[in-house]
Amino acid sequence: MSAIVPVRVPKWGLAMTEGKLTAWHKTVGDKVAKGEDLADIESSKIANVLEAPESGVLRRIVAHVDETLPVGALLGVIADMSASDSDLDAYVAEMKDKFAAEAAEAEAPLPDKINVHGQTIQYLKLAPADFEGGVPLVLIHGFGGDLNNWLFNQAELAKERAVYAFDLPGHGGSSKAVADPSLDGLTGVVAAAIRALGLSPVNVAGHSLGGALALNLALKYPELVNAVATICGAGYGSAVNRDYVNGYLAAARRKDLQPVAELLFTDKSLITRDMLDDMIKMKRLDGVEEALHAIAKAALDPVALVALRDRLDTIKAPILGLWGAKDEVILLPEIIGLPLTAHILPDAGHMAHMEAAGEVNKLIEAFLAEKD
Amino acid sequence: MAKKTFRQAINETLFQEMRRDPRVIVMGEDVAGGQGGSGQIDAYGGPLGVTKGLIGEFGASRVIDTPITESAIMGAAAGAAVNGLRPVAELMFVDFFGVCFDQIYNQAAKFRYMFGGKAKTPLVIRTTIGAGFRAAAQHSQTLYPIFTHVPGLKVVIPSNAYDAKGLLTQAIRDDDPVIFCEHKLLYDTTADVPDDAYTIPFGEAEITRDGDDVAIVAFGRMAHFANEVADKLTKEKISVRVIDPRTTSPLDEDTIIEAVEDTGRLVIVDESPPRCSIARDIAGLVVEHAFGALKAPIAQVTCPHTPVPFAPPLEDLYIPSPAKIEAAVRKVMAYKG
Repeated sequence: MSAIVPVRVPKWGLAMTEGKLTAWHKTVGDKVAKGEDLADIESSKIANVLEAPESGVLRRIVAHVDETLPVGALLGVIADMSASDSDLDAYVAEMKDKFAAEAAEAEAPLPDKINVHGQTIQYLKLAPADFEGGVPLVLIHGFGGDLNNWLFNQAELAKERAVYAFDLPGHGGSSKAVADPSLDGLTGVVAAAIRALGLSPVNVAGHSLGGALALNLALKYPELVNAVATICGAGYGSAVNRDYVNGYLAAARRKDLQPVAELLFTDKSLITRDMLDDMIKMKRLDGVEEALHAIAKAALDPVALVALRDRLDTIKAPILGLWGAKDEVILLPEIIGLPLTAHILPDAGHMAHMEAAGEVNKLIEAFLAEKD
Repeated sequence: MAKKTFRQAINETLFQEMRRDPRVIVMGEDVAGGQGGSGQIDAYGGPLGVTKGLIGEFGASRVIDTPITESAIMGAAAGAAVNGLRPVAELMFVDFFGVCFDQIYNQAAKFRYMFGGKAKTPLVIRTTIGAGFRAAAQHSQTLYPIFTHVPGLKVVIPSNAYDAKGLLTQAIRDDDPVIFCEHKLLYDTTADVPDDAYTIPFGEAEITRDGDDVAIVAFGRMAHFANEVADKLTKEKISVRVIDPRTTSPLDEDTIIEAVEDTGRLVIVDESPPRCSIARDIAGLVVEHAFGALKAPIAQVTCPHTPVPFAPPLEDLYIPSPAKIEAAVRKVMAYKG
């Protein structure tokens, strides 16, 4: 290729407006392959690796370590050796300010709300600009999470299809009153939301409790589901760590939540005070505590989850199961004999879609491309 | 999440709690916002625009524009509270407490105790505090130490719009009298404030900056100054923990003592005169429970023991400033037994 490809500050989640460059993994002149680790970026909420957008040579580094830049700002330039130095310099000079200005003006997509079964469900839709048809993907977060948990995944997966991230009842921006907190109750709300938005059939990916809901959706509403992906999903028979669930329910302050949040990540340094603050702030909202207790009791009931596992072989849709080898919340289940494609991510914990975002995105994209 | 001002956060809380519970009423001078002047109702939304719109939605039976008599406002509110309503009474400036203190400290604060727990007094007194408003000695005091002194009163000093909403919601739902102190210079500050209702428990300090070298305890507007100092000193590798207790009664003693045990150095910032102040109170607490952990004398940054001056340069000098807080931090850091 002879194109000049910009490396820009990514936008991870609705709230991210700027990112701090904390490390370059490559120096000027290094060859990079598409998807290879290129730099470390930190927002106020989380740190992650930025992957190379294209293969080529890192020809220019524009931003230096410890610099804080707006989302979209130019960090560096990838090109092959056919691009001349003067072309690159001209490109950098032109794009540096243009990108920052562009990013400042760009309207970030905002979540929307729909009413189903008398409850408000919040969702965020991201779709490619020239998107036409195709099977959309629905993302379902886990217990105590919200649609922002997909901050490293949704935009990436939305390059190929429309992607809808839902807030479950009792979570995020959805109604806090949960009419039926059981697996079937929550699955019913998800199914109703998919119908109300006119999406079916969909691909559905769920994390943790959301994984169990994705499987249950395929089981109870086969007409709605094309393919299922679970990330550290419940519903395969292994128990959910009650230290996590009960610790999360009991924590009212940041310092009580810290050890609980540490069960989620292998790399404990990913936990920031902003992340913990957001969790505490959500827990304080009217109705959330009651909702979480009810869901923990009903939907995370070990008997209900084992009953789901026993019926997995009746699911018609293909299943992709992803697990973090270091997950401390849902241990690796016995998957021999289960009807699914399984991948184990060696360095990830329970938040595998955050800790190993690039790999998870690639595996889901490849799986869906095959099943569409 | 939407950015809202401190003023909007309080206004939104009043709307939400009045919709949620028909027993919640608002009363005070001009809370209907200019009613009675030109005949126009809700012309400007109360003395500081905080009660704007309430009269239109809830009517004059729940948004009671009172005569200029604090003793009647507080007496009526305390009586309404023990009889089943949940009044939010406004004391326009805390400086006026003198004419209604019997109703507050000798009546409302003691009902639950003197009736053996059979009476509840779910009363909130919203009041404005703070110097820097160029309003002279009779409209510029903080005075929260006086209310903190009284058993039976809860005292809340929010420092930002997020806390203001959560703490006011908690205050309105609380069954005891609460003095809710709004610093006049915070009304236009903004923070991310959820649209949904939420509560923040009393007696839980917020650690607004993490640090291990020195701790600053600061309330209300002073918490912003303390954060500013912490951010500045971080660049010099001085690691400052900032604690905003949010309520002085109850006081989160554990978080303060833990900070002294971790850092060994304490600076207390209190926008009020020093004698019998919260600064002295916390210093006494730390000396009693964490004396062995102290590596330097406790520094107190307070106002001088004088009325608030009207001359602007003097008023500015009267208020604890970031520069004075920074100097206090440097002093405790430099202390060599």
